[in-house]
Amino acid sequence: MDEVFAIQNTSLLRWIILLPLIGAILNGLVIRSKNVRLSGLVATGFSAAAFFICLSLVNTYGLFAEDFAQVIDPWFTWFSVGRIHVPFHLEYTPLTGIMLLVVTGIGTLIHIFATGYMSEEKSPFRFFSYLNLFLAAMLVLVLSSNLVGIFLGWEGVGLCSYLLIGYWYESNENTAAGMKAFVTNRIGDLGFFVALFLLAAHAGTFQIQELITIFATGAAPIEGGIILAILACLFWASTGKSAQIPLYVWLPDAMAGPTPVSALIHAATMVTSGIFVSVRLWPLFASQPSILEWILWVGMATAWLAALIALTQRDIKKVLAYSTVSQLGFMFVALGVGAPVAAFFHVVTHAFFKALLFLGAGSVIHGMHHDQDMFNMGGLRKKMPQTHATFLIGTLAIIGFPLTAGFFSKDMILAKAYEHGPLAWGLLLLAAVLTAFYMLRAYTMTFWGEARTEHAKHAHESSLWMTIPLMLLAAGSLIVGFMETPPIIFDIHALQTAIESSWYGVSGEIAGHSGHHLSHATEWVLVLITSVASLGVAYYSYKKFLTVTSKESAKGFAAELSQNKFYVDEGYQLIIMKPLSAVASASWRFLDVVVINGFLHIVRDGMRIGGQVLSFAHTGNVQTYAWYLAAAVATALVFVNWVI
Amino acid sequence: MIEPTILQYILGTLILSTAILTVLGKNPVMSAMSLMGTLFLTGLLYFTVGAHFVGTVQILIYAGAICVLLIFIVMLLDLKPHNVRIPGRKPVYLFAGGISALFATGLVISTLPALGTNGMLDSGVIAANNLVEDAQSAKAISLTLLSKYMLPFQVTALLLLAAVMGVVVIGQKNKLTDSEGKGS
Amino acid sequence: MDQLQLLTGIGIAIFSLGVLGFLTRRSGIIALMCLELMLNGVNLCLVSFSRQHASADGSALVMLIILVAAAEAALALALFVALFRQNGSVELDDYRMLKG
Repeated sequence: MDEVFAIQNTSLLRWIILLPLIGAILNGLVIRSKNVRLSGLVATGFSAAAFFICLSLVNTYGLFAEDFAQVIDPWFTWFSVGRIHVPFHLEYTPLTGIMLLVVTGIGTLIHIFATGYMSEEKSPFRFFSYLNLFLAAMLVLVLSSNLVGIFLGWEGVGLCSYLLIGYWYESNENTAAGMKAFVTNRIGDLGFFVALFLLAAHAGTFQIQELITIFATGAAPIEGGIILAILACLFWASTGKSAQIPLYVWLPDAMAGPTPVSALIHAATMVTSGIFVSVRLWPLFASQPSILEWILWVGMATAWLAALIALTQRDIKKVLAYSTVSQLGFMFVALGVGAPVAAFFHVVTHAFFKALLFLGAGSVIHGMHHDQDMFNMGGLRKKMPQTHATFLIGTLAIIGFPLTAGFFSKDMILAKAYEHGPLAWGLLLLAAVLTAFYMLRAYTMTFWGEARTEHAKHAHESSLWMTIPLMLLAAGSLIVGFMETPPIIFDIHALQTAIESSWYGVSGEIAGHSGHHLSHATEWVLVLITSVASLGVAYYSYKKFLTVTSKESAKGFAAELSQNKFYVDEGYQLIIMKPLSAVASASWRFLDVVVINGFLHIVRDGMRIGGQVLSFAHTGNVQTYAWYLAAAVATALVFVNWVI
Repeated sequence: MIEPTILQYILGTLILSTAILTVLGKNPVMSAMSLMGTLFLTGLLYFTVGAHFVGTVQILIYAGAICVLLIFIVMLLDLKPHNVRIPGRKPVYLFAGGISALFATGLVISTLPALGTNGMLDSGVIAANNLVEDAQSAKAISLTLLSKYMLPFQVTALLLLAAVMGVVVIGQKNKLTDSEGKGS
Repeated sequence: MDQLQLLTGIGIAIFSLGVLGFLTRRSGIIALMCLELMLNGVNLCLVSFSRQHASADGSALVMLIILVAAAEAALALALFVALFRQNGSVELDDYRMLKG
């Protein structure tokens, strides 16, 4: 396939990473300004510069062509030990190109929003420096051509997530949330480590291109079991980073960070890295169908659990957080049924409308003077018109209102799920219905009805810094869907072409699977059922929550379970944390205090006693010393003459 | 193999007696005087074996200067006679005696093979060649001293200089202490 | 008995007597005298060896030893005088400041 992929070298790719990095260093170490606008603009400038480079790349090399020139930036060799050679090369494929545009584009918009949102911040340079650093790390993850570089970016975004969640470090809650995010991510990263080690031992290479072309096609002998193990470890890492069961618990707590952070990291970019890497490596996954089943059901369970919890949350950000977890579950379901295009499509559309929803929530919170409880809001549609309009568009997108971006991506997932089996489709449909319910609940309680508190009565629209990004994201949520439409509506398959040409000529078909396509009639039926169900439930939810008062909250056993997040955190505490800390404390008490200290005490006492004993020889009397001398010499003389 | 002369025997006995007197004397003055006697007699012993120069130096310096100085100081400090610990009364004396005996034995055994008729050069051969007088003459000694042992010679000269300065400094009267008796 | 054996024997005897006295006597000046005895014993042995080997080396060494003994005796006595001025006693048992 060499003739299809003419390789082109360019040193432009490294600037995509370097520019935000320079911005971070400038803001954090050089300028260190307390002026929000200044640090915000510097950060936004570098982020926008990276975005324009991505645009020019897309312009030069194309995005949706069937045969593209594979573009590589051979930057430098990272390390080379024995037969392990790890270069730090950057790579541009259509898949990475789309992700680049999403990350830098939405990133820049969020930078602009943050410049307005953080207007009361005392030392904003720290915030914007971290934000740029995050962007740089994420871009390393996207652009890197081998798994070690991806891991570098993976860890980098984890670090920045910790830094940004615990940004307002004066509060213990925030720092605890940051720690939780970092530690949970770390547990997931263990999987990535093990996968890397397995690759080093069995495959000898980390380059994605080689992995796909050599190992997915079976051209090189490597046991299927090993590949399965590697993929399982990578999926474990994804449960950490992309918030699936069992490691999703950090994401709701991460809402303690500033809202732009939640929008950027926990909605649009970082949490989708797991899916991004999986789509990048798709031919490997396709060669091992057994793991796909597993991914499918874990994703389904997560989608359901999160949706159930989101039904009763009071905090608007928590609703959106659980919604994110649930939507990520949808994406993994898509992967599980063998539809990487659908999964990545949902990544892109979700980035737009979830960022929009989070930023809208941020605008609301800003207007409500940082009160986040939805039961205290109400009637904001009159006070904050632009926020309302954009939030509405975001809500419509997420529930899959026809012709929004979310409609196309969600329906594509449902269609592929139906191809897999009716059970998966049915469960996923119900989860989508739940999504409609809780999203409309959130929307209605916030923007409709009567204002329930003073803050709500005196809320005002946010500044242009915040409303313009909202409008741009709203536009995106409406337009972006048209890159991939089903055969019954416009039949556009640009995204599919782009993604399928990103696998270096290797096919993404699942081993032992014959893709059967749905008939047009079936597709129409599916679309109709989905739309009717979602919209019907949405209307019901709207009516129900139009007249809610601030004291009401749901009662009953199921509601209790849902409100308390099904006690998952408490369960972890009981089963994992308490035994671990008991072990640690016991080993401290025994090993450290008794064994090591005891040994040191023995040494100390031995020295002391030895010294005291030996000091008896020092009488201070010259004749005594002369005795010692004479005795020694006499012994030596006798020894030399008689013994030897 | 030259037999020792009667003179040497007598001198030897006297030397040993005076040495014992030195070691066991009660009175410090008596110890000093018998030391002087020992040194003087040793000098005479040197003469009998033909080491004239060394004998002269021994009597001049050792017996004549060092011992005099010693007596000088004994009298300056006005040391009183004191009880000598009698040998045999305390175990420490047995130990000391034992160690001395060990020294003696060890040394004797070390030098035994070199002495006597087994030695390459025995006194008979030496006497026959008359090399003895030449070897221990002042000329031979000084030649050796100034050629082979030049460095020790010069260093010893420095040592004497340092000793003179040291004695002057140490012996100075301190302003804080008087010459009349106890210090402050 | 050879002449040289006699001389060496006497030398060893004087040396041993000096060791005995040095280890045993209480007064510092008398210990110094025993020290001189030891040196004298060594000198006697050296002269005897010098005669035995018909070389001047032994005698030269004897010269040096006498010189050094002179210097050392002078210094030691000066020290004793200074100590006597300070503490009123030259007995070695009284000087134990470095004990322990």
